[in-house]
Amino acid sequence: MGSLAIELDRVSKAYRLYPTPRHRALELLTFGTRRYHTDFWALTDVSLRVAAGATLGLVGNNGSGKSTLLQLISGIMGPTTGRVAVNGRISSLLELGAGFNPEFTGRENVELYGIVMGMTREETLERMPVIQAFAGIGDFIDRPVKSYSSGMFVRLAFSAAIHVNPDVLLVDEALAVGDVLFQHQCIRRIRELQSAGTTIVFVSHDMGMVRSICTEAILLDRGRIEAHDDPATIANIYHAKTASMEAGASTPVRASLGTDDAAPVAFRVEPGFDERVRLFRHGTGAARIRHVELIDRQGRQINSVEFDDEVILRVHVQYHEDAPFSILGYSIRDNTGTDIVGTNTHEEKAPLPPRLAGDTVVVDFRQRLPLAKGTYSVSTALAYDRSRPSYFDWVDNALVFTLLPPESGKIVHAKVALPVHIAVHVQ
Amino acid sequence: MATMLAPFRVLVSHRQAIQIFVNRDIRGRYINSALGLWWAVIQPLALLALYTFVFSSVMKIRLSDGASTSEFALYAFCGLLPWIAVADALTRSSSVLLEQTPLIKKVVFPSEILPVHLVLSALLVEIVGLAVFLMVVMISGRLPGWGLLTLPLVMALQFFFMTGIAWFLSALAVYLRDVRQVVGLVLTLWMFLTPIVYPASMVPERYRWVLDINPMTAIVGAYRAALLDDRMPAFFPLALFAGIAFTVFVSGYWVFARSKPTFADLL
Repeated sequence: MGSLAIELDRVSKAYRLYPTPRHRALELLTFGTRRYHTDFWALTDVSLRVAAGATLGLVGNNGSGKSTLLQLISGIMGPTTGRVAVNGRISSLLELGAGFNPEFTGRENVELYGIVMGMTREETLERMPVIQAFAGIGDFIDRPVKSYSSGMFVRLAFSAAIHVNPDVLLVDEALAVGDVLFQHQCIRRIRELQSAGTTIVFVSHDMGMVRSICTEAILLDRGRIEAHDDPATIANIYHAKTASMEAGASTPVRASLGTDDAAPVAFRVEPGFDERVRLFRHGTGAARIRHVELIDRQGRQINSVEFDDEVILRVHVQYHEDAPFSILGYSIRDNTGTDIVGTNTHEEKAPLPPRLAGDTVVVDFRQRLPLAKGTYSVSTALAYDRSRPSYFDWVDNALVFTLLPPESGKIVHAKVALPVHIAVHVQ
Repeated sequence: MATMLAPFRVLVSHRQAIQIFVNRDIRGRYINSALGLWWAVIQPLALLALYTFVFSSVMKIRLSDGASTSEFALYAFCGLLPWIAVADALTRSSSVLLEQTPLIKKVVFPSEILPVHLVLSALLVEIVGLAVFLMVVMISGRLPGWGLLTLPLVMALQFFFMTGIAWFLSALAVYLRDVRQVVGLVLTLWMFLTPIVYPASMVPERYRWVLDINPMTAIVGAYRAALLDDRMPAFFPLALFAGIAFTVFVSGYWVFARSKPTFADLL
């Protein structure tokens, strides 16, 4: 077992409530010999140990003390009783962009943020291109922050906060910001931080997110820890507490659709694709994915899919060097970054032909998507061969699309709704 | 000993952040104004012109029998420069934490650097004023001598003195918002208890002790010694002031650090 990142020992926090500011002054002037306040206990007797590298989910209703707990861990507040110990540099996303000065440029604000977080100016400047690219705000980085749209502001603030390489990252519902693509980007970055050993404490009402990101979770109720367990268990307890479970109804299984042969398809390059995915790609570059699109049965390019509709994921590849052998694969990820479906040309026994430099290939993956409503991103990769993990090109977030809920009104209870036969046996 | 060193450690470990904050503050003072940084020069120049007119043409105060009346304008202005810096830094530090609430409540932030940067910013503005003043003095035919070299030391002591009070006031203002109003009043009173716009010699003997226990008297005296009289500042008052400055610096930080964990509750 590694070292502890966070340790709370019987921590309680009371807020002092004074009738008026004058009462506070009176108490101060009598050096506390007379009490003019009443206490509100936001947290009571909380003990918690989080191992370095763990990701802890904080779950609970509004007012259960989640934010207070984060503030105590961050050191922004001191506990009323008990002891809080944290090892390492803390970065907090309690409120995005707090402390950004609107009069100054994005670059200046990020620079200050990095230095305040304990980096040197040189380190901060070194990371500036990554922060800038991640935020995707282009030349606005050199304009005053007051000229930003709220989306740009949030993206820059988030980008700055997660690129200071904290040992402990505290996130308070901040992920619910930004557009879909940006959310996917954020989850990916959080996974990177996880694998780099960052300890994360994460407040969310989104149980799907908690399940997929966290390694453990606690349920807070009126300032006390009610349960500390694995995320799935906590999510279940929380669900049971907050909502009565709706009885699930099953519908008959649909017949599979017939397929017809695709018409010849022309290779295309999507303008702006390289710029858009610049941050999410790696590989040798000996071949490049130039365009990824989603197409419905009428042949139209779409970015929202009806539940269980058959769609074609079309990937356009261009080779810059001779490639006698290559494998194209993809993976569709949900908004927490979990792979939901995916396969490759090798597994499906549809080998790509040998290609020479300058050749192209367009590959269609046709399948139905019986997935829960939500947003999904597509990662695609062109590999050299199956035995070693080396790639011509690997692109995350190549495409983002929305899945619409079933028109029938059927509720999808899990991430995937596979055909089910139900037999009811009555005695 | 650790308590004594803690405030110095703050200055060292957060030097880059402090530098950026000072930089911002200086730019913030003059940003969006057409003349920009020239205001730092124009303001003291205009003030000096005003003082010269008032003291040599209206009030006709002389430092000693036989001295010219313009002499006194320089004397008063020389005392006024450090005073303006002190008043500016202390007024602003009594509200700085209240104005930067988001930084304190929502970010892991070393709030102790906020009062420090106000002090440094005020001192930088003072330095520009001093340069202007020195130029006027030289034009009027007086070349500065070796005494000038003591000025950095005096300003360093002044920095520690101001920072200690700034820490104390900024922390106290979180508990008692009335501090802001009180500081304004006290500063006015303090200015008149310091021989700035009158020579110390005009004060009747029996009130002289008020000036003697006032640390600002030592600062103002040291400035005048260095800039106008070209002599070493009197050793005893300056040494005493050094002791006061470091005591204020260390204890001001102690108060700030002690109350810091409760800031987020109270703001």
